[in-house]
Amino acid sequence: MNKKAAFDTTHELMIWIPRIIILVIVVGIVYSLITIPVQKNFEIDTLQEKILRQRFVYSENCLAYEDNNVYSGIIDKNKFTQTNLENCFQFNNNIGVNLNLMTNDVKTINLNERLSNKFDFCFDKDHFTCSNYTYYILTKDNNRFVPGLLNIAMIKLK
Amino acid sequence: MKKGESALTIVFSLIFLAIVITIFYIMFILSSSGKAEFEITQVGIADMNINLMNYLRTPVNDKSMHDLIVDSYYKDKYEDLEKNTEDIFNKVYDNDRCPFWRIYGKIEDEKFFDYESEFDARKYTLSASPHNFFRLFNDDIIIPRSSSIDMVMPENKKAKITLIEGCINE
Repeated sequence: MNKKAAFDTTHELMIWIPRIIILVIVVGIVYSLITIPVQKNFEIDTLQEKILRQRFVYSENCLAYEDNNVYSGIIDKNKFTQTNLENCFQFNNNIGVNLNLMTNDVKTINLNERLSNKFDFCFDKDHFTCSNYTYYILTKDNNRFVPGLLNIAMIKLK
Repeated sequence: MKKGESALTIVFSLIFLAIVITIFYIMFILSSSGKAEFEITQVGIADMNINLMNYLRTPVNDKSMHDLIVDSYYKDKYEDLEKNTEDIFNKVYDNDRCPFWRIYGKIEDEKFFDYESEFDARKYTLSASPHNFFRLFNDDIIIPRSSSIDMVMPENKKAKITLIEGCINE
């Protein structure tokens, strides 16, 4: 290689260095702009838990009382069984549910035992999303409404 | 065009491109983030509608709370309404997760009853014009949510019953 060719190569390399630096910066900015907001926008764990929780009290296939009409918020105590709630829950491996129906007596049902006994780990917000809500409900007993509480606690594996 | 000039042009083109992409992306985020918030809030409020609806349905001496509200308004006697309301909501909203509740009724923009939990959330307000959130002694934030139901009263009057709950953000 003669001196001029060597000089040209070095010169070419010198020109490319700032180009590469700028390119890396641009790619970095674009990548961070794409990934950060997308992660935030698609954080739907809490929303998913809320929708599932509401299915328990709104749907006649779960706990809502029905004669000819469906009464959202009025609970049919006969529907508060393990089998019925498992059918309504449509087993999801990543969600555990603990339901407590408090009227004259207290009944408890756990769905997906693998997770529903792990509520003690809710402090670990990196791996679990937890929610807990108590509904003021009425149950129908011999044509009378009996007030009670329905507590639904959920834990979801992220 | 000289070599140096063309390199400079490419560098400035890339910077210009980055700025353009950034501006468009910020505009895209700003226009889409509001929608997501709106959907989540709507689902959240539905939880409380059940509590308010069942409060009005609750039987009290062969009547319902709905009837008791009407009676209390026309007889101007609110003792029973206050006692029953506090009995119900003090059980529903415990002090740990949902320490604050408030319920009031309005007819033609005038309150005719207004009851709330003993927990005074206003003590924990962060500023004079808060964006509807309160802070406890620890890092938990209490988020108030409200739900309203319109109720038909005699003499073609319409009452608006509003329930506010303050629960710790999950």
